[in-house]
Parts: sequence; structure tokens; C-alpha cells
Amino acid sequence: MSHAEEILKEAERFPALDPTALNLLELLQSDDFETREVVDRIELNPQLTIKILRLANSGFFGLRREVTSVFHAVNLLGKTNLVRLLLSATVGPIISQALEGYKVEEGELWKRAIAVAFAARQYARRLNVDVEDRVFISGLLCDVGKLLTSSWVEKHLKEIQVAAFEEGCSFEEAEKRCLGVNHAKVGSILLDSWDLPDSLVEVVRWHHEPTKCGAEYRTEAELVHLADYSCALFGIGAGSDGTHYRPCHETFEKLHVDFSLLEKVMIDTMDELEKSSFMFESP
Amino acid sequence: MSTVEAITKKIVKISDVIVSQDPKEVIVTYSLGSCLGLTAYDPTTQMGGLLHCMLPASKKNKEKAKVSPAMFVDTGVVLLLQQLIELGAKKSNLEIRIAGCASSLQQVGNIKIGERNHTVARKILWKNDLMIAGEDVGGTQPRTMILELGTGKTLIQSCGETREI
Ligand SMILES: [Fe+2]
Repeated sequence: MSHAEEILKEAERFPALDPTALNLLELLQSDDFETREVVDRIELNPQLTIKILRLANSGFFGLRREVTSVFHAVNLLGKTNLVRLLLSATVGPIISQALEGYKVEEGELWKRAIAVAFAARQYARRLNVDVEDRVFISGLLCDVGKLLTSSWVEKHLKEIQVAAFEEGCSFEEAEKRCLGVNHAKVGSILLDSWDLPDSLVEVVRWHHEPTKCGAEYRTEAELVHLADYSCALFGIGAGSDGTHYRPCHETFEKLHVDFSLLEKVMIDTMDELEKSSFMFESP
Repeated sequence: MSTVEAITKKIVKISDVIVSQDPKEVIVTYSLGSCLGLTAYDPTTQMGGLLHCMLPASKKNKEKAKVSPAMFVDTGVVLLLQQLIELGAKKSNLEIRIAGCASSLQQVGNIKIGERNHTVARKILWKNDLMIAGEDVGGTQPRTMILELGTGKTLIQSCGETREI
């Protein structure tokens, strides 16, 4: 079996995200949902209920009275915060692990993921593209494949480093050359096996090569690309890959991304990151 | 257990600065990409500091720079110098070393953050009559920058190697 086949086999066996939380996230992406429905689904899952109550009562929201019911918590938190809480309760724990291959310590990939999510949403807002919530989630999950490729990168690190730093490949191109697949493809296969929407699968698949994405989701892939590139450039959660990525020139030109836009996006992203530090606390 | 006296590690986050006069301390900043890492050290007093800035100039972001001066190279360097002088270091003794200012595999248009950070750092140091004693900048590899207060050494770790600058 080739490396690529073995990696993709591992992807099929990879434990899924909590389905209740994923269904909820999907529900929250649609515009017509009843709060009651959201509350019911949360209450079906005791672990999620505990996390939501604990986070609602954490210092972050500065609430004076103790929140004791999910209904109360959901109403107080509002949609945006609820989405964040769900994400930190579901994606956070799996994506927080240290990755030997990429030489990132515990929590670093999670921090990077949140930064990319915020940056993607900032780009969407500033470029007036109406996909803010969708790009938030695809930004958050764009590097999820690294969870699986990491141990392979570790085994082949020398070879990958030579391909990247001596032979001119970007880090993900070097993954593809040495392992047969890059983390973007592995990530998209993982998300697909978790039955997540096509838009998410496609955007994650092409976040390093957005021009290859089908027309329907291309703009989202471009926004996530911009966000991922920007966060990598500033070294947020960077490891053995450093800043060794290739920008998609077409995307930068098409969306007129220049220094001043990137600067604004990153200042706001760092602000949001600071305000969300509660998401990094272990649940 | 090591027989060496316990060394305390202080970590500088992005857009932050730390100064110290404790010879048992090391100041560290991780994953410098296009950001600028700068150490300043006065060997006579053994005082030093490390700065980690994201962006070159505060000009268009005056409000932000007030709250977070270490985010920008121009205001960050001034802040580091101020803090060291307040601590008792002598400006003319300061040894300055810089690292980071990386780029991506290819540059796009005018987005040359690393280069810009480097240029602004050199300008502001020159204005302050400070020479750069060592630097490790550019490229695409990640860097960790370390200042040892006891020895005054600035170390760079990158791709599994450690070098002094
Ligand atoms: Fe990626």
C-alpha cells in the first residue's frame, strides 16, 4: 500500500466529532431555527450541557447571576457566542493536541485554527462577501488534516524539509511529494467521512490552491486561503512549516488584497483572539 | 536533576515586551514568522529585554499603538528602550540583536511585512544611535529567539538547530 493509501485508510478510522454538536452547528448556520429546538438538542447531550453551563458561568461573559438552565444560557449567550462555545467544546479537544511532525505544542494548532477562522471572517466582512459564518467554520477546520498527517510528516521530516527548504516546494507541496497527499486533502476526506456539508469539504480541500475549487465555493476557498496565508505569515501556531507557503497570486489580485487590508485584518484578528482566550482554557 | 541553578523562563507573546535584570532568567519568544524579534542587552548592568512586534509602523494605527505599542516596530523599540532605561540600563551600552522578518515562499505585491519590519527596525535604531550587533533574518524558516540574562547571549533556534547571533 502506498503512503497515501495508508493515510487515507487511517482517515476512515479517525474518531468522529460529537454528532450532536455538529448538527447544532449546522442548525445554527441556517437562519430559521427556534431557540427551543437548539436548547432541546443541547439537553440531549449531558456533556455538552455541562460545558455550556460552565462556560456561561465563566468570567468571560461577566454575568452577575448564576446561569442554571440551558435555556437561560442560550438566550444570554446569543448565536455568535453559542457557536463559539460549541466549537470550543467539540473541535477544541481534538485539535488541541501537540503535533510531533509539525513541531507544535499542545494548544498551538487550536490557536492557529481560531486565528484563521477570525481572519477569514474579517476578510469576508471587509471584502463585502456574505459568507461570514460559513468561512468561520471552514477556516477553523482547514488544517484539521494535520492531526493525521503529523505522524507521517514526523517519519519523513528530513525528506520533506529537503523538498521544501532546498528544492523550492511549499510545505504542503512537499507533503504531497513525499507522502502522496497533503494535509488539505486528508482534512477534506476526514470532514467528508463525518458527513459535513460539501461546501466545507471543498473549501478545506482547496485552501492552499483556491483556483482549483469549483465555482460554487471558490470565493470561500479564496477567503480561507487569504486567512490561512496571513496567519502562517505571522507565525501564529507555526512549527516545522514556518512561513513556507505559497500565496495564490490570482486570489490576491482578484480580491485586491494589499498590505493595508492585510494589516487591518490581522490587527482585528489579534484583538478577537485576545478576547477569546477563554476558548483556550481546557474544558 | 541538574546541578545548575534553576533558570526561570519568561515568554514574550506576539505584540509584547519583557525586560529583566535577573541573571537567572531567560526571555524567550516562539514562532517568529514575518514578525520582528529584538533583544537589547547592557553587559555592564546585566539588564536586557526582548520585543516581539507584528507590524512595521504605527502611523496609520495611532489608537491601537497607544494600547499596544509593542505591536508595531517603531513604537515597540521605543517602549523597550524606555523600559530598560527606567530599569537602570545605559542606552549607549546596549547590544542590539534582531531576528525574524521572514517572508513566505513567494511575495505578493506590496505585502512584504518581513522586509518592512526589518527596514523600520534599522531606521529607528539608527535614529537612536544604536548599532545592530547581530541578526538572523529573512527566509521562510521559523525561529525561536532567546535572551540569556546571565550571559547576555542571544540564541536562535530553527529547524532543530541552535545558533548564537
Ligand atoms: Fe493548510
